[in-house]
Amino acid sequence: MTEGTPPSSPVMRRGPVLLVEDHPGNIRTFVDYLTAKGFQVEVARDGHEAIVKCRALAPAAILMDVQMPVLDGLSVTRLLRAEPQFALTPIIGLTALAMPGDRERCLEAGMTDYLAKPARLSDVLAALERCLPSAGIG
Amino acid sequence: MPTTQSLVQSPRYRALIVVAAGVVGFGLNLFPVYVYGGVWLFVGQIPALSCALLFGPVYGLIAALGSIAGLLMGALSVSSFVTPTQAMTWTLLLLEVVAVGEYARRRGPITAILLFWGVLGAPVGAWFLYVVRSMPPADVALVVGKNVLSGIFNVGVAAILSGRSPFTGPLGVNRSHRDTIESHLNARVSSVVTLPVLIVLIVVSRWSQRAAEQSAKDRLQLETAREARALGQYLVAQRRVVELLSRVSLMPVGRTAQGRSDLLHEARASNTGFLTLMIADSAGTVRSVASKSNDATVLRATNSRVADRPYFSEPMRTARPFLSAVFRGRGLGADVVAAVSAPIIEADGKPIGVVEGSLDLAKLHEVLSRHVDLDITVVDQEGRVAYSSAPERRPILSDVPNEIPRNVHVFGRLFSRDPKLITSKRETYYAVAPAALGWSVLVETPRWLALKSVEMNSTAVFLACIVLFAGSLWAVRFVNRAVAEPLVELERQAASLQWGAPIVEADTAGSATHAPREIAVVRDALSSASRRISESFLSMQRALSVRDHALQERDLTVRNLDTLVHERTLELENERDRAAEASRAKSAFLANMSHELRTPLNVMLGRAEAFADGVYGPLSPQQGEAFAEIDAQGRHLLALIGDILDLARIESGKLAVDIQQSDALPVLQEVVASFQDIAKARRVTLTLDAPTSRCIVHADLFRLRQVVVNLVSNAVKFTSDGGRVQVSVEVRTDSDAPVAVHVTDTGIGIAVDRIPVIFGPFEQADASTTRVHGGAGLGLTISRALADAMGMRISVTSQIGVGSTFTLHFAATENSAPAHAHSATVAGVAS
Repeated sequence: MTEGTPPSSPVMRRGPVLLVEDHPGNIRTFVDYLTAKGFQVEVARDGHEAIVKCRALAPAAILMDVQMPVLDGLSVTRLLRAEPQFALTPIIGLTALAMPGDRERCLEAGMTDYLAKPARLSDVLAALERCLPSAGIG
Repeated sequence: MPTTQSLVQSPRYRALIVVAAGVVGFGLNLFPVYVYGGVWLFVGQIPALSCALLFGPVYGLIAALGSIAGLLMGALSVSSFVTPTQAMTWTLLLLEVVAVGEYARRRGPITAILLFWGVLGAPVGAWFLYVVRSMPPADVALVVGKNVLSGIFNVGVAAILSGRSPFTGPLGVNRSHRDTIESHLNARVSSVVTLPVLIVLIVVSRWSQRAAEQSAKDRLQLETAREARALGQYLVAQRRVVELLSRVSLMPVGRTAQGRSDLLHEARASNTGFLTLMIADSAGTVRSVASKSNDATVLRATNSRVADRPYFSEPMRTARPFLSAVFRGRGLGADVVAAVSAPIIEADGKPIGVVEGSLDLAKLHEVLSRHVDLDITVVDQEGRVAYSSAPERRPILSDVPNEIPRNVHVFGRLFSRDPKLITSKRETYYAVAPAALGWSVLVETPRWLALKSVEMNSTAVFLACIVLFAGSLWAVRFVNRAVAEPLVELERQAASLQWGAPIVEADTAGSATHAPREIAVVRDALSSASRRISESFLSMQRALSVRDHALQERDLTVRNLDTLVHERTLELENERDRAAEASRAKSAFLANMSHELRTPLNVMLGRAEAFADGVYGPLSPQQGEAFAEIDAQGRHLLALIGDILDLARIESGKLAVDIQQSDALPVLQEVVASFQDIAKARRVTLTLDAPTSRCIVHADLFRLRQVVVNLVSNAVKFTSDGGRVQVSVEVRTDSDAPVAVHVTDTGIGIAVDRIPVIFGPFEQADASTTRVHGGAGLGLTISRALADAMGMRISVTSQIGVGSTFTLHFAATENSAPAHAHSATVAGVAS
C-alpha cells in the first residue's frame, strides 16, 4: 500500500479536496494524512454544508461519507451532479454499509468511486491519485 | 223474545218492536186488571218497560204512549173526564219507564226499579192517596206496597222478555256469566216459564176482578133494595096514620074542636115520627094542632092559613094522600121537614079538609141500616137529599147529580144485568132504588172500598204469582246448573287442551254425581284425551329438554374450545409479537452496535496507519513494528466484530438472503485473486480449477462470496510454507450447473473426532491455533449458517498432517458430490 509510494513532498501542489464527514475522529485522521500527502483539505460536516462549500471552493475532488445527518451522501451527490460545474468533479464515496448493492447505489447516484469502511488510508490515497491524473506526479 | 237480541240491532226491527209493544200495551190497558186500591195498571207497562230495557228510555216512552192511550180509552168509556188517579198513574208510568230504561243500563233492572220506587214512586203514591183520596194509612201502605211489588214483577218480566237478566248489577249474581251457556239457557227457559205464568196471572186476575166486581155489585144491589123497602114501608105507614086521622075526623068525636084536638094529640104521642099533626078546613085555615112540645113559638098557630102549601092544595085537588118534597119548615120543630097529608072526604066524595103530619127526618136513621162502607141517601121526588148517612158529602136539601139516572144505562150495558138498579160514577159504585111515594134510596160506596174485601183475593193471587214467578226463576236456575256446570267443567278441560296452557286434571270424583250421562261421557273422553295429550306433551317436553340439554352442553364445549383456541391464539400472537418486538429491538441494537463499534475502530486504525506511514514524522523500526501490530490487531478486532454481528444476525433469523440464478464463476475468480497476495506472502500456491466458462447456481452471490472467502481464508491460513490451496468446481457432465465447490489445502488437517465440532461457534480444531493463526473461529459457523440459508450444505474431510477438503454442495447435485470430492481431495492432498 504505502510502502511503494514515497510521501509526496510538494505541498499544495493540487487543488483542494473536500472531505464530507461528520465524525470528528475521522475528520482529524483524514485531514492529517491527506495534508501530509500534499493535499489541501476542506471539511464539510453535513450534506448541506457540503453543497455550500462545493459552490464556494470548486474542489478538485470530494470524499463523501454516505451516512450523514440532514442530507445523506447519495442525495448530496445527485444534487451536485445536477449542477454543470460539478458534472466531472470526482466524488469518492466512503460508507460503512458493507452490504450488497451499496456499490451500485453509490455509482448510480453519480459517484466516481466507492470505498467501504474501514478503508485503509493508503486505499483512499490511491483512489484520489486515480481520480486526479491531471494533477499528475510532477 | 230473547232470541231477538240480534234482530233488535237493526233500526227497522227496532221500530217494529216498539210499535208492537205500544199496541200490546194499549190492549192491556184498555181492559186493565184491577187490584186492591182501585184502578191501577198491573201488567200494562211490561211492553213499555221491555222497550226501555232494550233500547233505552226514549223508545220506552214511545211504547208507553200506547199504554197511556189504552188507559185513556178505558177511562173515557166509563167517565166523561179523567180522574186524578188516572193522571197520576200515567205520570208514574212515564217516570218508571224513563228511570228503569236509563238506570238499568248501568246497574241492572231490579236495582233500577227498586231505586225508582224507593225514591220517587212510593212517596208520591203515598202522598197522593193519603192527601187527595183521604185513604186511611193502612190502606195507603197496602196500595203502595202492591204497586212496588207490581213494579218489581213487571220489570223482572220485562227484563226476561227483553233478553236481559234481571239480576245484573249490585243485586246480581251472574254478571260474569254474560254470554255463557248458562245465561243463554236462563233467558230462554225463563221466557218459556214466564210467559205462561204471565198469561195465567192475567186470566186469574181478570177473573178475580170480575168476580169481585160482581160480588160488590150484588151486595150493593141487595143492600139498596133492602133499604128502599124499609124506607117505603116507613113512609107508607106514616101516610096511613094521616089517612086514618082524616077518616076519624068525620066521626062525631071529630065534629067538636076539643075532640079533634084530643084526637091529634093522642095520635102524635103514639107515633114519634111526626113533629106536628094538624087539621085544616076547606078554606085552608088550621082548626086543630098537635105538636111535640107546647112552645108557642114552635107550634103552628090555630087559625093560621096553609091554603098555599102543597101539602094542603094537592090533597084538596087530587082527593088523594100526598107526600111533599123536603122543605124548610119554620115552627115545625126542625129545620127541614117533609109533610104527609090526606084529604078529609065526605060521603059525597068532596074534600072538606086536610089532615097533615110533618115528618121528623132525623128519625130515618132508625129506619135505615148502618154500614161502614156504604153511604145511604134518601132522595125526594124533586131530587133533593132528604136524609144522608154521610151529610158531609151529601148535605140535606142538596141536589143529587142528574147523571146518576143516566149512567145507570151506560154502566149496565157494560157490567150489569139489572140496568135499573146499579150505576157508577167514576170510582164510586152507586145503586138507586125507589122507596115509595116518589122517594128513592141512593146507596153509594167508593169503588176501592166496595171492592176491598173481595179484591183481597185478587191481591193474594197476585202475590202467589210473584212467588211462583220467583220460584220459577230459581227452578230454571237450578235446572240450568245441572247442564251449565258440567258444560263449564268441559269448557275448562277443553281450554286445558291448548298448547301451553296449564294441564288441568279432570275432577272426575267431584263432578261425576252431577253431570248428566251424555256430558259425563264427553267429559271422560275429553279428560282421557287431555291426559294423553298432556302425557305426550310432557314426554315431548322431556325429550326436548334432553335434546336442549345436550345441545347446550355441546354448545358449551364448543364455546370452551373456542375460548381455549382463542386464548391460545392470543397467547401465541402475544408471544409472536413479543418475539418480533424483541427481534426488532435486537436487530436495531445490532445495527447500531455495528456502526458504533466500527467508527471508533476506524479512527484508531487510521491513526495507526498514519503513524506507520510517517505522517507524524519518521519512526524508528521498533515504533514501526508497534504501529504495524496495532494495525494488525485492530483489523482482526474489526473482522471479529463483523463475524459476531453476522452470527447474531443469523441466529436471530434476520439474515436476508437474496437467492437468484446467477453465474458464480466471477465470484470465485475474484476471491481467489484477492487472496493471491496473502498466499504469496505465505508462499502458498492458490489456484482455481474451473472446467467450464460458466457456473450457474441458485444463490445469493454476496453470501456465497462470504462463504468462499471464509473457506479460502481458512485454507490459506492453515497451510504452511510450500503448501497448496486449490479451489475446484465440480460440474455435472450434462449441464452448466455445478455440483459442488471444493476448497482443498495441504495444511495441518483436522482430527476426525474434532470434525463435528468445528462448525460450532468459537471452535477451532486446536484451541491453541488462535494464537498461532488468528481468527475468531466464527468463519465456519457463519459459513454453514449462510449455506443452510441458501439451501446448500458444507461437508469436510480431513487427515491430520495431510490436509483438509471443505466442500460446498449445491442443492440440486449434492447427493453424488461428497464421495467424488473426497477421493479427489485425498488424492490431491497425498501429493
